[in-house]
Amino acid sequence: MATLRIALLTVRLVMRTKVALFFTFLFPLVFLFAYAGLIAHGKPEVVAYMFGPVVTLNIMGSGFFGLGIQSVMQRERGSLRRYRLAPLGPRTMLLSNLLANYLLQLPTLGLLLLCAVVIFHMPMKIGWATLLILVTVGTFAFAGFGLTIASVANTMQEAQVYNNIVWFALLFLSGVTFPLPMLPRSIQRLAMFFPSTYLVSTFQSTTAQAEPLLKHWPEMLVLVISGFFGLLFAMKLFRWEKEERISTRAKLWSGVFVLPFLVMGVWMNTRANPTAAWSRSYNAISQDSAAGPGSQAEKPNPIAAPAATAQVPNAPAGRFHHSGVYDETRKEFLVYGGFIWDQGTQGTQRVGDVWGWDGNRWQLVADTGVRKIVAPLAFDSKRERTLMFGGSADSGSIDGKLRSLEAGTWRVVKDAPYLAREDASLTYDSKRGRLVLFGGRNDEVLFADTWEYDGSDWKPTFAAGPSLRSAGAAVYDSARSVSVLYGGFRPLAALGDTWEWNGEQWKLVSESGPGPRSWPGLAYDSRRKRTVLFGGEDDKGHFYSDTWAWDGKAWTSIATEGPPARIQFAMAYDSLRDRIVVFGGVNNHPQRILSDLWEFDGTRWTQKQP
Amino acid sequence: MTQTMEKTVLVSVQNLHKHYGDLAAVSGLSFDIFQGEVFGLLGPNGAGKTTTIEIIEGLRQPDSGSVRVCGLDPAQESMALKERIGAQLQSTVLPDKMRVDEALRLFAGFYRHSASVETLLEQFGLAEKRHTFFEKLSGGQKQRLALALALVNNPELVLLDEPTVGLDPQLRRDIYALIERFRGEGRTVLLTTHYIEEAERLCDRVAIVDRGQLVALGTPRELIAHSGQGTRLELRLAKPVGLERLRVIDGVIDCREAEGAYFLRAQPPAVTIAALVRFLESDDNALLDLHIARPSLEDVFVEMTGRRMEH
Repeated sequence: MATLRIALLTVRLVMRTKVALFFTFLFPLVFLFAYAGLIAHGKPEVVAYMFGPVVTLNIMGSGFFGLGIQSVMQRERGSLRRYRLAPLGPRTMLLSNLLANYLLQLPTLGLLLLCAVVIFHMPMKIGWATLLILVTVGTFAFAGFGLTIASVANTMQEAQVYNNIVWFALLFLSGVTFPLPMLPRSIQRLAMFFPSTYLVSTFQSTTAQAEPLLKHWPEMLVLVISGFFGLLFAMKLFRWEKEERISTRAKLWSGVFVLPFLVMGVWMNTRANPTAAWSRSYNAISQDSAAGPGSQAEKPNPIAAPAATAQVPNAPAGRFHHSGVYDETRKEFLVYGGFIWDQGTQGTQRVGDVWGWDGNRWQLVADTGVRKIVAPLAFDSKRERTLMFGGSADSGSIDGKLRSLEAGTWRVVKDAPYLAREDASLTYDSKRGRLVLFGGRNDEVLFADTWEYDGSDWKPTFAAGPSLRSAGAAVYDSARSVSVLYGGFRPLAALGDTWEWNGEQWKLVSESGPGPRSWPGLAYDSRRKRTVLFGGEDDKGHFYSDTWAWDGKAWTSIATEGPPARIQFAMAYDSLRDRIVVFGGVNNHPQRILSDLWEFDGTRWTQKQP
Repeated sequence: MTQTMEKTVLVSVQNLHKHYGDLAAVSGLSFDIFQGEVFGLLGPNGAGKTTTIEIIEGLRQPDSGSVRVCGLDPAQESMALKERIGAQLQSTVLPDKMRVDEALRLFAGFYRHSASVETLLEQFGLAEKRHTFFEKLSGGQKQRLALALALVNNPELVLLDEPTVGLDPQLRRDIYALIERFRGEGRTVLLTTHYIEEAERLCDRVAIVDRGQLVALGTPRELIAHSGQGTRLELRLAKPVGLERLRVIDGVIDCREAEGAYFLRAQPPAVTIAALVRFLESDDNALLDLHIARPSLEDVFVEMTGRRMEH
């Protein structure tokens, strides 16, 4: 009862203090407007993604400065002493502070929510109960943090120093300021030890992706445990008077407070694909299922689906982020590499096998030992060889090697470390006998450069063209002698543009058609002299299963029925049999790694396998 | 002293010791406080008064010695004790934006039994200031609020630590009136002070403490009567007289001369004055002027400690 009385009065006192009012209610709104306006550019989906960081920032601020510093200030001012004369214990004082802090959090949350929904049209993917639980758990955990610092600090100055150190670390290294998938890998690893990371990533998974909260129970558990530790510490080390000091030994005990984070950090770091959840939500707001820069390739880790579709005997395992090309010499549709689902580790795993499809059956062409994902293939018809460029190998290392499939392995033809990248667009200009390389990315860096390989060396073109992107689809239109590029992925962008490269310049030829797509399939149907696009994901996270054709003038929808929606699959045109072949990839709802094979005869799709 | 024997002991302090590091704040203090009396702890700053009162309130733990307050051990039963005592700190700080009536209602809510907030506001002259923020109160108003807060649980024992320190004489008299009202209500009061006037005027009994030790204990009258100070007589005579002749007059303890005036200390004074008159008549001298000053607690303090009380 006393707890509630003090808490309610504390809330009233805050309402009477202008500075406190500003920091409690207006300041969080400033952050919302900054994040939603400057970073999200007012895009509702992105605002939903940034909402978590804004709320987390507010929760952190109230824990550290509202609760932590206020507690020290109460003690330093001597206003605790009067309470001490009443029949109240430390528990009452602490709980009332905790409660007041929480009560003040709720209207702020309401204000943030109101602005986000009314002004920025944020979609409410998160349920009310989930939101309340998250805010409650978060407030509790950071209250523990603030109280621990308040307990350990003997003076106001000391508390400020501790606060600032912890505050800035949490602010910049845990996704509160910069989206986690944008951070360098080393910092991502570090971020896994920070409570704000757990709160931000859980917020983002639930607000941007409508994931169930239960999926993030370990994060929630750790936050609750740390909150309890903080509260226990604060009770143990509670001081009514500023003259009372605590020993260095007692301060060291507060190290116990970080134990839950240590355990959680180690556990997260040793998980197969620790950043998958971050990427999932990031991708939900970015183009499509691919993760943002940093962990894009790992995003569609179908945790929900160890059920890759049934393995077909004597056929490549279901996979995604593999590459495909039509080998005109072997007369086979080749697929190479990618991620498969490993039942043993319950995670994805890169593979290095090359399979050929001749229209009737699969044949293992080679097990190259070079395990890569997002390494594009092109067929060099002049030298009659299948080429592969760059890509991401185990441990995420990326190179700039051009390789040729020879004698069952990938022989390095040209090593250009300065071109190191993955998920670039690669075509073979058969008329001029050149490989054309465009875009892609290396870790966080996206490219928009165009290079040509003439058989001896890479030459830059210095031509202005499409914007920075990876995951665009490109094919060579032999009838019109141009490389056609469609869409691609760039964080927070929606790319649905069509470009053509004639060897001298890029030309934006269309901005309409299928709309924004990342990881679509593109194949050139040389018989009908048209470029065919299938699938992909738009900037809202929607996966497509439609089929479009580009004749050099306009895009036309040519089929709406076909293979299930997917991205990150292999697609090529089998000119001998006049079929466009599609193999594998991932779909969502449910997320599933695919192992099916489809063929398109120009009007209809037919499932050939399984 | 004898008449107090039958009274109920409300506070009993026996052989109390408390150290802060090397500093002995209280060393071997013993006294009893009886129900219904106003008891003063008089001493200079640093005498150990606040430490003693805080041990009685249960805010500090003694190093050794025994303390019983209202039949309870403050160190072990502090929650139960706090229900029964009311205390005012040397300086009471409340949140700036807390209103007077809010503070009283808040604190009243902490106790099982509480006094009427309205009555307290009236009694302590705070009714008009009921909606005023703590930060806007004057020093005297803050002190009245602190006293009102001490009464909020209708306590049997009221502990006041330097209740008038820093207040001007007018405000001090206001506070005295309030403390006298406590006595009228039958409450037991323990107050610490370093103002002699306060102790003499308010207290039924006074314990003089210095350097953590009890120097003297009794009613102000007893303390003065039992001190060897004697009454001070200041006289001017028609013609000079040798000091050695004055010294032998009945009851004269000491005698000095300065600027034509004679200063005598006498005990008992009535005997001395009668003998002095007879001596002057026989010596054909005359009394031009006579001032009689009774000894004060200050004199007692100086006698006991060899030091003056700091103001």
